[in-house]
Amino acid sequence: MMDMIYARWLLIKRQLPKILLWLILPLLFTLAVISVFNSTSEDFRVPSAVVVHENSTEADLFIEGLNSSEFMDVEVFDGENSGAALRELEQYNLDSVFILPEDFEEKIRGGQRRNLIETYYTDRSIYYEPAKELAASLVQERMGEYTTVDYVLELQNDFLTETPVNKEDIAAERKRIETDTNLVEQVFYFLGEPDNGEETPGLNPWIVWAYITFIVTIFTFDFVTRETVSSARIRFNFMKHSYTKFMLLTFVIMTTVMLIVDGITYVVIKETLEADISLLSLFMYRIIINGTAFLLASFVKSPVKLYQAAVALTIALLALQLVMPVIVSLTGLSLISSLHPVLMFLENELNIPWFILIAVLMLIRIWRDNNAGG
Amino acid sequence: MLEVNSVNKSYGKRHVLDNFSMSAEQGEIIGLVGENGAGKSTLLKILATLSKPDSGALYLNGKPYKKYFKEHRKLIGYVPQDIAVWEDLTVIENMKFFQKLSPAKKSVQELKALLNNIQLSRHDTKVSKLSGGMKRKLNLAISLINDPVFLLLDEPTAGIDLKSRIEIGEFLKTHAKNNDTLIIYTSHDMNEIKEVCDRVIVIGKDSFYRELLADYIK
Ligand SMILES: Nc1ncnc2c1ncn2[C@@H]1O[C@H](COP(=O)(O)OP(=O)(O)O)[C@@H](O)[C@H]1O
Ligand SMILES: [Mg+2]
Repeated sequence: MMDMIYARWLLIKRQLPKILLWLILPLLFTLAVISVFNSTSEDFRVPSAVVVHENSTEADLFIEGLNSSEFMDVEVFDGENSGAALRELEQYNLDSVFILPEDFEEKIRGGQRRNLIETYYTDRSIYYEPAKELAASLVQERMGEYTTVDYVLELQNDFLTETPVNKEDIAAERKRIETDTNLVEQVFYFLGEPDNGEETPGLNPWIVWAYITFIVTIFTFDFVTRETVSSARIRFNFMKHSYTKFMLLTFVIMTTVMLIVDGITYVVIKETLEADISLLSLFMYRIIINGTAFLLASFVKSPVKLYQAAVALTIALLALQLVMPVIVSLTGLSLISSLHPVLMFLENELNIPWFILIAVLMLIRIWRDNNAGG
Repeated sequence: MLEVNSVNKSYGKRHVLDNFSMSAEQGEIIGLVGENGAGKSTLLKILATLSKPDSGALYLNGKPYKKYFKEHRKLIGYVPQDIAVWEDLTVIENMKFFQKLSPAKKSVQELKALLNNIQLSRHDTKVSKLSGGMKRKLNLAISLINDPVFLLLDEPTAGIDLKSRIEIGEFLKTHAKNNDTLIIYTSHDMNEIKEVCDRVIVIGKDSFYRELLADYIK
């Protein structure tokens, strides 16, 4: 065993700088792409307006809520200028207009949700739907609070009459708890999830990572191709360890090192970009792409062919992911999307079918190598 | 001791070895000659256990290849026609690499002595920077790590300078004598064959080499 590890070391040590570069590239690339994406999307905010007929805390909270979406730039008009707001909208200077009624606060407190806010949009509005949903959820949120307040006050009236508490105290307390638990932020995140299609505000760093890692991993295994096609391989017939054994050891070492790098990547992406993923499906994804890369590298006849195959496969996977919604809606088989390795990874699923496929192919390879020659 | 009885080998319709038989003793150096495509490499691969004959039997020290090929591999040194070394590694790293995986144990000192014996002194040079002659020497040196009693060389002197060619020939002669090694090797150089070999076997149907040989061995 130690003999094989030492031999492996001799044969790979000159490639280490290159391999180390390949190892850290996916994380660096992901961080770079996300930071570019975030900075461009910060520059682009959809202009919209809120018309306020009566200055109230509820109206301020509502405006603040819309503004805290990274994709909206809210302009405030007072009641008399509602005409001006609508004219801006007609001239496509605004994406949407929300008009709050005079008794906005009262209606919120009273839980009257019917026709609470008048909304206007145009045929060119691109962010109307998510903005409307956001507005609705903000209102819902506040109404929910007051319902809770009323309920607690009712309970107090029934059981705790000796220690009176006013509505404002409870509302403030609830606000504090809500801020602590990031309730509002979670609402935004919900809106920004990929199933909303084109208007998706956030790019999931793990998508970027999954694709760059796929292609880079295949590139990293190019030394397997070079060693496999080398005429030096014939000498393994006279060694105490077979070439297959030597290569399997290589696979295990490379996978271990890559899993460690993945662990670091997981922590960095989670901490800096706040994007989580299941560690188990990350582990599974790594095993599967390493298996694919290793099999491919031992199958092709030259490193150039390996690079070409890597690019072709990556493009194919990416294209497949893009057309997957169409395929699923055409065939009605949602199962198909769960065969896509990157989609499975992103959905935190364990890719059992691929795992079995790779394992079987590996075993066939080992079996064939053991029966060759002699 | 080697014995080959009526070995046949075909690739598709092409009959390469036709009822080939031979036998050889320890310490002998046997030259294999024949035109390109005659089947010299095919025969050496069969002798080296790397390829199976379609029919016929082979014995090394009385033990049949069929059953004992794994055991035989420890006794065989095979020098492939294509130079089988790692180009990215230095000379000594190549020796260390194959020593680590070989069933035989050798110290770095012993490996260096082996290289010096074969007059390959640039131990720390990367193979890709070596001349053709030095690469051939390394190709041979690696095959000697397990101290083979049966050494097979496929064109060990092809395309190299005269000095290296003579040095390799001299090395083989001394090695066979000192270690009682049975050596079988192929070459296109009749002078070299005449100088180094105890015996010559002609492979293939072409009569050119037979007649040439008759001229040499008067
Ligand atoms: N693996 C193979 N598959 C098919 N044909 C082969 C194979 N190896 C050798 N041959 C053919 O067998 C013949 C003998 O080849 P070889 O033993 O390499 O000849 P030599 O070494 O004497 O030049 C040639 O015609 C060659 O094309
Ligand atoms: Mg040949």
